[in-house]
Amino acid sequence: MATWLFYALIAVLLYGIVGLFQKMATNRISARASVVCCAVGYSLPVPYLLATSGPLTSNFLYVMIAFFVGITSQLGSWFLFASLENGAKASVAVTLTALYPLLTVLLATTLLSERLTALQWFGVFLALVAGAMISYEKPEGTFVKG
Amino acid sequence: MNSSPKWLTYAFCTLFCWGIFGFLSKLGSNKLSPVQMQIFFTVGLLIMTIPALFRSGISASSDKLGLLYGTFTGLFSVIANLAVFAALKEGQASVVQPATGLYPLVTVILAVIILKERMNVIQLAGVILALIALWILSL
Repeated sequence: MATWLFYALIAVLLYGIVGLFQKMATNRISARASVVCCAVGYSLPVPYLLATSGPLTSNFLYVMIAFFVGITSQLGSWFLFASLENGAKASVAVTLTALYPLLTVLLATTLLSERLTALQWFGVFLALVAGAMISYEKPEGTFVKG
Repeated sequence: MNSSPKWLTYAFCTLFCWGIFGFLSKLGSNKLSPVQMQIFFTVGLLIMTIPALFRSGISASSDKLGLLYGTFTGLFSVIANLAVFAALKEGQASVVQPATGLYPLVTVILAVIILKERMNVIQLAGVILALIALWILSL
């Protein structure tokens, strides 16, 4: 098994568990409260990560890139909440936003010159369709990216 | 002339943000270790969480189990992110992101098993398609 696939499968499993906890949390507390709790969860391991990371990079550009990864992740969640609060059906908004890897694929193939085989393109296409289909839910339950 | 509904604009903003998120994750992971990525990622995420602090409604009487589940979402996300950053270091973003975007596959299955939720026909078809997609991407 390719190394990237091994890590990707771990991520799928763990994000899947995150989705379950999101459902369980928002059954009991508000979406905003769950986001704050989630941020607390993100913060708890930081001291351990700092202690084990070795010297932090001083490359300002890459620090900013990683910083904006966090910004765009959370900003996307806020926009999704705003969409739902402005009358979006969860079955439509969540399904639509599940297509976000499509933009990543477009950016990576155009700006980073990544090349995919025909079979990989087909796999990517199936993954995007499958992601949207699985995210199709009735309004009472939503998947919000972790 | 009708303009797009506000919710649709917000939904596309989400799609845009998360698409950029996937792309920047690859750019950063090329140079930084997964742990360093996660540290700086957390700083950005916390800054964007500040507005929610004042409107979260969390109080001493809040549902403790709900708060605990919410905290677990963050803890598990940290490990998941580390795995994604590690995957992006090794693989192409154009393959890794669609693959990791299939995580609702696990959520729906767990929700059926643990929460006794029912999967609709579209979701069931999506699960089968996701497994085929993962198999193809693994070739």
